[in-house]
Amino acid sequence: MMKPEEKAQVSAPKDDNKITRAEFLTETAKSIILIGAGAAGYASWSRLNTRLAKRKLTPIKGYPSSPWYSIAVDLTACIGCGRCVEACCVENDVPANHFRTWVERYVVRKDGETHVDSPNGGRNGFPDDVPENQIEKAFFIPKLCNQCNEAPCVQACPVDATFLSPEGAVVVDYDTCNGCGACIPACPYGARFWNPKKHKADTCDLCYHRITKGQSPACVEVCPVNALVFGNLADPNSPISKFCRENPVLTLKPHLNTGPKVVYKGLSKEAV
Amino acid sequence: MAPQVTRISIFFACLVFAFAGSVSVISPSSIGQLGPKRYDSLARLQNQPEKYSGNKPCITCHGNSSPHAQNGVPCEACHGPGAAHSKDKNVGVTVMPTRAACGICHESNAAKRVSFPQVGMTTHYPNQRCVDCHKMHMYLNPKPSNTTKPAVEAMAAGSAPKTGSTKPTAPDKLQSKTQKVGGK
Repeated sequence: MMKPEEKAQVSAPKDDNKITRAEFLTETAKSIILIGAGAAGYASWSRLNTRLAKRKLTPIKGYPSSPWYSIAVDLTACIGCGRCVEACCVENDVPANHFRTWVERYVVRKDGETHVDSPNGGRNGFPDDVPENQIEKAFFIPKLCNQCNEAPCVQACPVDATFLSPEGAVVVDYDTCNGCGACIPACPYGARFWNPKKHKADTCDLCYHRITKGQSPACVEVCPVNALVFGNLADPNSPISKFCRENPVLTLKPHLNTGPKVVYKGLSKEAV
Repeated sequence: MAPQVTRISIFFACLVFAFAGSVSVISPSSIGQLGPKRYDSLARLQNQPEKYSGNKPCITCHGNSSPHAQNGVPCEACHGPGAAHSKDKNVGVTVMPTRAACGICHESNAAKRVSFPQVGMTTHYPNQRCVDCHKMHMYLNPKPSNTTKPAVEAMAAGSAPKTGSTKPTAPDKLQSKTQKVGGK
């Protein structure tokens, strides 16, 4: 709709005090674009600010304000039945011949030789194949991801796909992981493996889907001799805190300064 | 300022704001909280279904009066994952009263601690089921009483077998171990 005055202006010769219709429309369009751009810029700036504020409020390392979970292993109780391996493989759908947790058997013979074996990860138990009169010492040791506080696998990952969760578990973001496998040789405990089903690197994450719902990891749940103790290290009354207080415990490869959270009671010098 | 410069700068300013605006709208709000590229990774990890339910749902229906349960052996150690069974009783669990199943834990091995009851599975009554003598479960069908030996019956009941009763011919490691444990 055009007003009669405007129509008159278009045909009239240009005056210093009046603007033409074309000029008016151009200026209006410019100001609308500028206001819109300013509003969009303000919106994104405020969103960025809220996001940065959130990032400051939720640090990755939650200890000691949040639970800091770990597992303690009682080697004096372990009987090498491999139920933990079975439970882990079933619970986490681990492909055959790959293990998030496995059981090793150390046999020290009287001639001083140490043999380590783990047939099928100890999933089906161990055969009694070494004559008892040749054995100086023999023991089982369940192995799993040591949930290092300064994890070498986290440092090795080129795409930042593996990280320490606020609960203290080393977890893998399978959507970010590109399966390059740089973390596998980085782990001094051999706990990482390449999962042929997912085509990603994989590791024990303390059954992250269970511990966040208040349950124990599957291996702890099924251990028939209570050789695995799970709990919150930040809580002095949790089972694992009591276990660490009442028993002498050691970590594997402490000289590497990886800060492993998984501790062992009754660890022999052959296995450290 | 020259008009073409103004036009170009307005155009580029619009491009920048359009990019920033669309990034802030499209990207999920949890991005950056756990690292530069990650979003909702922990939530996705939590979505994995559980297959092991723990002892509580088992005990609710079946009780825990069996000797194994009394000694703190979880049901799922022998019977496999039970979360599906606890939700729908038509989904079965592994029922395994076979010799091999008992041998997983009780097969003698030099690396096992001495206090754990263990036996040579190939020499200790190799043709009989373990559960025929060792009543380790309340839901097993009872065998006719003439096949069970009084010594092992007493052992299953928790008391030490009498000396001079029917001694098994095969080397019986488990019996002596049980005596030792029972005496404590």
